[in-house]
Amino acid sequence: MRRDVRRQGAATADVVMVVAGVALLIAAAMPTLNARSFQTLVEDAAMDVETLRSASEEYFASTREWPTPMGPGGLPPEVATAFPGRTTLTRPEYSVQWRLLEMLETQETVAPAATPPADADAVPDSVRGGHLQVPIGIGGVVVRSNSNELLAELLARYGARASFVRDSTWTLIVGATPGL
Amino acid sequence: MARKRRKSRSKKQRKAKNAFHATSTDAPNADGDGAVSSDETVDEASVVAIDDEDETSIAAALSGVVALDEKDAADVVGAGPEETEPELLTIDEDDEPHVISLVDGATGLSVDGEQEDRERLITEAVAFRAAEEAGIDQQLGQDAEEDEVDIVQLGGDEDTPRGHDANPIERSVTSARPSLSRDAVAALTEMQAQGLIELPNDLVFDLGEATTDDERDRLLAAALAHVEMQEARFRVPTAVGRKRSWKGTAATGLVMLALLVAVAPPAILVPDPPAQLTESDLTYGVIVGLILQAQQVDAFRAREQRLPGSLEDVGTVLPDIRYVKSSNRLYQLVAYTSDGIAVVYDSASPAAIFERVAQTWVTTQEGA
Repeated sequence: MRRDVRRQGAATADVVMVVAGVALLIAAAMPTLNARSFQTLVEDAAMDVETLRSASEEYFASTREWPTPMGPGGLPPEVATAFPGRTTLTRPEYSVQWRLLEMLETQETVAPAATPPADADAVPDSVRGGHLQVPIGIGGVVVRSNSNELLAELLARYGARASFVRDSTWTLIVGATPGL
Repeated sequence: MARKRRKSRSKKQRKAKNAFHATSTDAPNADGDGAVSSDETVDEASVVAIDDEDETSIAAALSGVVALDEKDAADVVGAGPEETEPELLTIDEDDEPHVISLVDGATGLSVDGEQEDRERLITEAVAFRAAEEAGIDQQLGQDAEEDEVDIVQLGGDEDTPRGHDANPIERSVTSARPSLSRDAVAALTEMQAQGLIELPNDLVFDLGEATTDDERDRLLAAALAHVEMQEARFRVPTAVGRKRSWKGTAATGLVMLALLVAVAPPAILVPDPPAQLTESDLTYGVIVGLILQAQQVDAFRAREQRLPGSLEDVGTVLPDIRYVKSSNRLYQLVAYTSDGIAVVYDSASPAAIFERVAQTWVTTQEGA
C-alpha cells in the first residue's frame, strides 16, 4: 500500500510537470497560432471581397448594370456563380454586403452651332457650352465586422483612396462612369 | 566404600549438572528470565529428558538429579526463586543403602527407582518438551510479530495447548491491544527499506481453525494490531515527500513560467501585430462618408430637381450621419468622429478638405 502511495505521489507530480510543460508550449505557441488564425481570417475576407468585386465588375461590363443590392451577407443572384456552394456571404467573424451608390459626374455640354443672322450687321447668335452634373451608379462592397484589426487590414490592403472605415464597416468603392 | 560411592555420586552429579545446565540454556522457560518457578518443577524434569530418543541417558540423568544434594540442586536451579531450589529431593547419606525419594510437587510422582514411575515421568517429560518447543516456536513467532507487526502468527500448531495457563503469550495478546511507537515504526520502515524484513500488506485469517473463543480473541487482537501497524506506518513521514517536493517545485515553476509566457510573451515569440485603425483613418472615414452621402443627395436633386426631405428619400443612408435641410437649395450633413467632434458638410460652401478628398477619390474612381 505504501508503495502504491509513493507511486501515486510520483505520478501526480509527473502529471503536473507534464501538464505544466504542455501549458508552457501552448503559451509559447499561442501568439503564433493566433496570428496565423487571424491571417487566415483576413485572407478569407479579402477573397470574398475580391470575388464579389470582380464578379460585379464583370457583370457590369457585360450588362451595363450593377448586380442587385442585397442586405448584409446577402449574395446577389447575378454573381452567385462566383461563390459555388454558398448561399450567403456571412461568416462568424464578418459579413459581406453588396450595395448600390450614386455619384455625380460632371459632363461637358456641347454648344449648338451658331445660326447666321438675318441682318448682316447683327452679331451672330451663339450658345456657350457648359458642364452638366450627371448621376452615375457605383457599387460598394461593405464588410461588417466587430474586429477592428480585420477592418484595418482590409483598409491597408486596398488603400485609403478606394476604401474607408466607418462605424465597424469597411467599404470598398467599386465604380465606373456610365460612358465606360 | 562410602567415600567411593560419594566420588561416584559426585561424578554423576557433575554429569547431571552439566546436562541440566546445557538444557537450561538451550530451552529457557516462557518468561525468558532463566528462573524456574515452583510450577515448573516438571519442566526441570523434562529438561533433563531433552534427549527423548535416548531414554537410557534420560534415566541416567534422572538418577544424577536424584543424587543431587541440596547445594548442587540450588546450583542446578540457578538464580531461580528459592521455593524451587530443593527440587523436593531428600538424600540421607548416612543411610546405606541410600533411600532416595523424589517427589514432584506438580505431578505428585514418587520416583523411588520404580521402573513404571520412571517411564511415566520420561513419557510426560517428552510430551512436555514437545509442548514447550511448540510454545517456544509460538513465542518466536510473537517476537517476530513484534518486529514485523504485520506478520501475524496465527499459530496453527495443533499440539500447542490453548488454555489460558498453557501459553502466557496468548494471554498477553488477548488481554492487551498492541501498539507501536513512532520510533518502532520508523525502525521497521528502515529495516524494510534495507530488505532485512518483509512487511506484507495483506493479513489472511483462516477462521476455520479458530474453534474456541480464545482463538477468536487472539485473531481479533492480531487483526487490530495489524490495522494499527498499517495506520502507524502511513503516518510516518518518509522520504517520498522530499522526492515529491522537487517535482512539485519544478511543476510549480513550469506553471508559473507558462502563465508568464501566456500573459506577457517574449518578443521573440510574438509575430508582427496586425494593423490597427488610427485616428486619422477614422477621421478620413468620417469625411469620405459625408462626401459619399452628399453625393447621394446631389444625385437625388439632379434627378428629382429638388432636395430630399430626409435621407430615407435618397435610398442610400450611411450610418451615423444626420441630414439638415436648411432651405430649398441648401442642406448640411453632420457626423461625429470617435472623439465626439462634429464634422459638418455644408452644401453651400464645403470645406476644402472635402473638395480635396473628393477630387482624389473621384480621380481614383475614374482611373479604376
